[in-house]
Amino acid sequence: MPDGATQPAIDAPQEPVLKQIGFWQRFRKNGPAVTALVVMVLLFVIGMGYWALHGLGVNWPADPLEPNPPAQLIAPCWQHPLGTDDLGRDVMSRVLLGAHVSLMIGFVAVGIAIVIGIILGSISGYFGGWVDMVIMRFVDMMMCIPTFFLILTVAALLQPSIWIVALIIGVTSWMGTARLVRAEFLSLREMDYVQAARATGAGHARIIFRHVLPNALPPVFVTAVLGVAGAILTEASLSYLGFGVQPPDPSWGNIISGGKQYILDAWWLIVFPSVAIFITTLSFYVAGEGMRVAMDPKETKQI
Amino acid sequence: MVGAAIDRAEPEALTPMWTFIIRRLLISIPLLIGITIISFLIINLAPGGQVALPGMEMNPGLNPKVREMIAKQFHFDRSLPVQYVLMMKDMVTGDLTSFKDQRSAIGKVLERLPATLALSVMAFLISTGGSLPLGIYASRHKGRWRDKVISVASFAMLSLPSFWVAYMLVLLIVRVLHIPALGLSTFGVDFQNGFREAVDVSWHVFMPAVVLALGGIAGESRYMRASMVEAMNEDYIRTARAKGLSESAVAYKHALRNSLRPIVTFVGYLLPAFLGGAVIIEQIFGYPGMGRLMYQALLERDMPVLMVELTIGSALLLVGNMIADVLYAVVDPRVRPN
Amino acid sequence: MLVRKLLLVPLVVIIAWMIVAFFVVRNAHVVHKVDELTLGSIGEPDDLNPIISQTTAASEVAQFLFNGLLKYDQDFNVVGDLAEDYRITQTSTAFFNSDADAAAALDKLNAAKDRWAAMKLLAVKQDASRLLLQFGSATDRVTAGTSYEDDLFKIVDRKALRPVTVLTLEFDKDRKLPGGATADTENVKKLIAAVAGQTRAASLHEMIAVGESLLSVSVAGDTKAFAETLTRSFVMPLAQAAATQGAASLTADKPAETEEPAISIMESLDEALLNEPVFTFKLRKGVRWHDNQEVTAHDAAFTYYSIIDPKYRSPRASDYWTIKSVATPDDYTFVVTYRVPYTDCTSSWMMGLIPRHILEGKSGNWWADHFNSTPIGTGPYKNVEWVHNEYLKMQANEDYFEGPPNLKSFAYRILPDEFVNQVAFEARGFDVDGVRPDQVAEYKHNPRFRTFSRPADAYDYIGWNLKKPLFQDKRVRAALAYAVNVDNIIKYIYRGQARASNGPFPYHEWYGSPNLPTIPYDPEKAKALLAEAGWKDRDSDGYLVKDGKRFEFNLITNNGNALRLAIQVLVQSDLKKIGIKVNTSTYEWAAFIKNYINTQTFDACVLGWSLGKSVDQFQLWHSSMIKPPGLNFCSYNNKEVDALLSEIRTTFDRQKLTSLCQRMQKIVYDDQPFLFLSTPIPTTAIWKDQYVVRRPDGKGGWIVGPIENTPAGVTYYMQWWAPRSIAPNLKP
Repeated sequence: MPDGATQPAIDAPQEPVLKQIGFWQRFRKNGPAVTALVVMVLLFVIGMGYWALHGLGVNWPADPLEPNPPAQLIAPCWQHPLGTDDLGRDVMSRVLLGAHVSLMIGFVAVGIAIVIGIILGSISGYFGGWVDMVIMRFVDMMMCIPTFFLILTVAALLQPSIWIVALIIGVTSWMGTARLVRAEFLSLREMDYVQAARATGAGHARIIFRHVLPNALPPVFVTAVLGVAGAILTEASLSYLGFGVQPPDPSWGNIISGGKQYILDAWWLIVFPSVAIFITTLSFYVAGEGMRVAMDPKETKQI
Repeated sequence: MVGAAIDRAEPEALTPMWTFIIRRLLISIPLLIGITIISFLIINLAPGGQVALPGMEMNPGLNPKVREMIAKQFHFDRSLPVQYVLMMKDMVTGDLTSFKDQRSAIGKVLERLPATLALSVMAFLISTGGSLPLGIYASRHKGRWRDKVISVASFAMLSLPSFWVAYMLVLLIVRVLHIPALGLSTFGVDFQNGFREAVDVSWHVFMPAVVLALGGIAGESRYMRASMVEAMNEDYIRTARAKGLSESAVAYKHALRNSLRPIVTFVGYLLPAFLGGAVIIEQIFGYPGMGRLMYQALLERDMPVLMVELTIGSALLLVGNMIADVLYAVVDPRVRPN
Repeated sequence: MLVRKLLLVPLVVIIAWMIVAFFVVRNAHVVHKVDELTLGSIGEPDDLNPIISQTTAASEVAQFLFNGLLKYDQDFNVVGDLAEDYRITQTSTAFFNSDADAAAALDKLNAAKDRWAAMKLLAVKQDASRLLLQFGSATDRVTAGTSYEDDLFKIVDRKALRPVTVLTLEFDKDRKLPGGATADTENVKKLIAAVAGQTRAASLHEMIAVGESLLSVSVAGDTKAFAETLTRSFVMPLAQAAATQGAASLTADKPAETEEPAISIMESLDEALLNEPVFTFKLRKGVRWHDNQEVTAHDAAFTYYSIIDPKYRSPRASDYWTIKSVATPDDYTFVVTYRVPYTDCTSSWMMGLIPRHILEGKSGNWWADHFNSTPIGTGPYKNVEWVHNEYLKMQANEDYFEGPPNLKSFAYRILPDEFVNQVAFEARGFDVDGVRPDQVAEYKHNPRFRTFSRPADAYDYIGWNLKKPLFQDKRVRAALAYAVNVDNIIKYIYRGQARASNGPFPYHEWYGSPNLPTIPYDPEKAKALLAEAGWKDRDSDGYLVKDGKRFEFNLITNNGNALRLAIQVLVQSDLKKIGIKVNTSTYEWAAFIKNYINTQTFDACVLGWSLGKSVDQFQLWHSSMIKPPGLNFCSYNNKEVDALLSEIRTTFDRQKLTSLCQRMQKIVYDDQPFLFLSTPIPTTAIWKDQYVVRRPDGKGGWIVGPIENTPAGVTYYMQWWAPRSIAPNLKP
């Protein structure tokens, strides 16, 4: 999906997942998902690791930020495995350094979306009545503004840095989580054990955080994993249009954006960052889907 | 908004379906007003927002009078709430003009609407046409390798950056195959008859629509598959199975019909994605739709056009959702009021 | 199973249709119409009204639709366009202390009649204590400026004259004048007259309203005293009022700005005599608008009045502020009188004329809805069909006054981005394209195209904010210039399609300084200069330090300009090598201007100036232009340059101008307020062997020749391009 706004179906009502017995056993059987999870972890380690090393002044194969004009636009070779850009900077180093930008935006954005979504969703689902009414109308409203239009407008008007891009994506993509959490709450709050907790005089906060929320979290976790992929794609699209993370911070999106004018002469400037985006989002999607399947009793039931 | 609107009791005056539609319409109005307020606030509160007036930067020769007149025309001299009300009024009457060329902002957006609708409808047709068979096929082989391949493949489609796909497609079509694919029709061609011209236009809508539809196919086929899996677990399917019907008969005769219903609501998910994706795709294909206008308005800081874009875009989504709800009520008697 | 097959039907239909469409489109014969000229552009015109439009795209299209009174010929000489001929003469007023002094001077002048021709003096008349001098020449078109003065003062004693000053006052209608009257033109005039009555040493000559909030006041005598009295009488009473009555006497909605007087002096020009150039245009007879109405001097006057009318928001109004009055003695004569000599006044009459019979009395919105996108002009093409975001198309105007164009239609395609633009050009989607620097080499060697290059009147620079202590030392700025490898920028960013710039005037123009060297790359010298200025690497961390502070600054630019982003990165890297830490950021254009440039809070910026054919750079360098939104946002302040700037804009003589400009170039070069980077040399590519030029020779015949580069660019004769077939034997 162009801007990752469409997410696979995970709104289907879930059985309360009290204990994840057999979750890992089921997940482990799913080959693609396990591979994706491994890739995901690897990417995370490489991205953050490279960033940390860069901070310490260790760069490989070259300094991603230091220009070297005489070496401009060199095709992939041994010295520059992914070639160099128009200022002679090593593309591989830039893609590796860009990994932390994309991943951080993905995680921070989703973190923000999840926190907002959980708070509003649980308040809405737990209390019901006019609170629910107000919050859900607000959710409806936000859902009706084309997400990418909204993100684009805000990003164009603000001066985008890594954190602002993450914030913008976060505050415009919490609505799905809020609905999901609300739905979970609506079904969970009538459960016997919640009624029992209420009868023993437990406070609202305690019921929400101790009894209901933990059971509503697993599906939220799946949304989050899928959401990271969406956020990374959204960042790439924003940067491509010039409204995302601004140079000199290299994000995958703005490496592509800077290289698009050379597309006919220097394909490596566009292809490699695109491949990085592709692999990352794909691994998040497949791993997330694997988790969803492993959690869903219907999926494992024999036909 | 799908769930919220449909589970309430109904006063009996009109035919139930009409009441349903009218009620949906009435709900939409405050929603739209709320949306315009949100859009207005975003545009006005962002630093460097509205005050960046057209042609005002780097022009010390500009008569200060002009500055004032423009401020007055766009009501910048009024308080925010008043400004909002006046802006909405101007928007409807067409007095709200684009910063760039002083043409009516709503006119500028509406003249792009048909192109964007054509693109969205085409993308919807392609993605639905592709995803139904794919989703059903995957669900029939649930958990087995074919399912997994389809699953990974559709996620791969979802993971491809759309601008990359679009670039590759333009490269392939224009540079390798030497066929024009830019704009809304081939430039500089005299088509002898209307049919050819129509085919030409459809070709120009196809190309961007295919790129848009890629993500749609991925999402919709996953949805279709989930919906099928869900349906296959229903009681009546068990009953059908117990009657001794073959698996495929059960799937295609009974489960399919019921699993198609939730797919109807998927239009509500697709439309915002199409509109958002259109910003990039239309830009690359030079397609004169709302997305491209949006991008230009952003670059030029054409706030009136931005405001109208957000409003019309949201209105489109509202209408799309409403159609989905109504269709849903039509195909599924369980949610039909009454 | 049937359902199963039916499910595949939509997909099959779609794919089948696509295949059909593919072949239909592929087999469609794309006619490269031999009688159509097509241009491509990434930008779309904002509107086609020449007095309002602001985009380059708009002026590219408008040249096919409109004509000005004047135009440049292919060598950048000013020639008539809608005007058959033009002359600039001048009326100068000399002020004397008494009638007797004036009479004495007149006698001296009459006695020296043989020297009149040298200073182009035609007639002298006495009016009480003033002498009115009429300048002009039968041989020269342009007789204006102050170049006669040297000769004149050999005859008339300069000391007998009272000097004269022309002040431009700006007033704010929404404020109150001292005494409570509204600050409208009449009241301001009254007030100034009263002030003039108090100042014995100076006498008020004339007050001319320029637009609605500007007043031009000419004063003879002790003009300094007058200006001081004037300032005092506006500011003092206002300040007193504020002190004694609080906010009561002030307008309610602007309490915060009470210190600012309702009137301020924008500009003051000191002269020996009051010089008023007079521009006389003789219009061609029988030129017709596209709707067949004749073009008259009234259209020219209407165009002028529309530009200065704030209602129509012309961004070019300031080019016309020096005009005192316009007149139309008959239908084909248009006379413009200026308040002061202004070198660039000819170029302002190259603005396309707009038709009075259509636009008069209509509102700006009416213009926007009816005229600005489908205009009626006088140009070689007409009947605009504008499909927004796709193309503009127009048809040949067979009645064009210079003769019918050779190509029947003209199209202007709008393309989404550079990549698509290039792909479309190479597929002959259009005929002429500006080539990006990195592709020039490729196009030059491509046998399908011809390329033409010519330096632009523009340059890129790094502006140091001279308000920041860091950049106030001249040695530091010079060191920065030595430390940045401009050759690398030209070689690797401009791919050789640029030349190092040595100051504000482009090297290739007649007013440039081609012999002034550019500053070479010499990091050692930079270090030495910095050490001299006190910047040393005291703690051996690689960075220079002075007074405990590290040499560190922010270099900003606007986003969306790949060249500037690249320059930013290279400069950062170069300066790091000599121990200066540069932080870079980029901002969206509007925010960039509003938050950093206009507030003058930036440290340094990468920007460029596009100058046009103008020698007048008053707005860029004069110290009065430091105040936002003036363009001297780097706060360059040099009295000598200020004086030169004032002189340049009132001098018409090319030789004198050249020496003035070269002097200014040298001073600015020594000051290094900017790090002058480079003047780009853009390249235009056209499809080979498609068109030739067939243009009128001005005597009723035609000149046919190949497309060639001219000083005004290869596209200068674009409107006269003709199919190759008309001259089959012509060698390209």
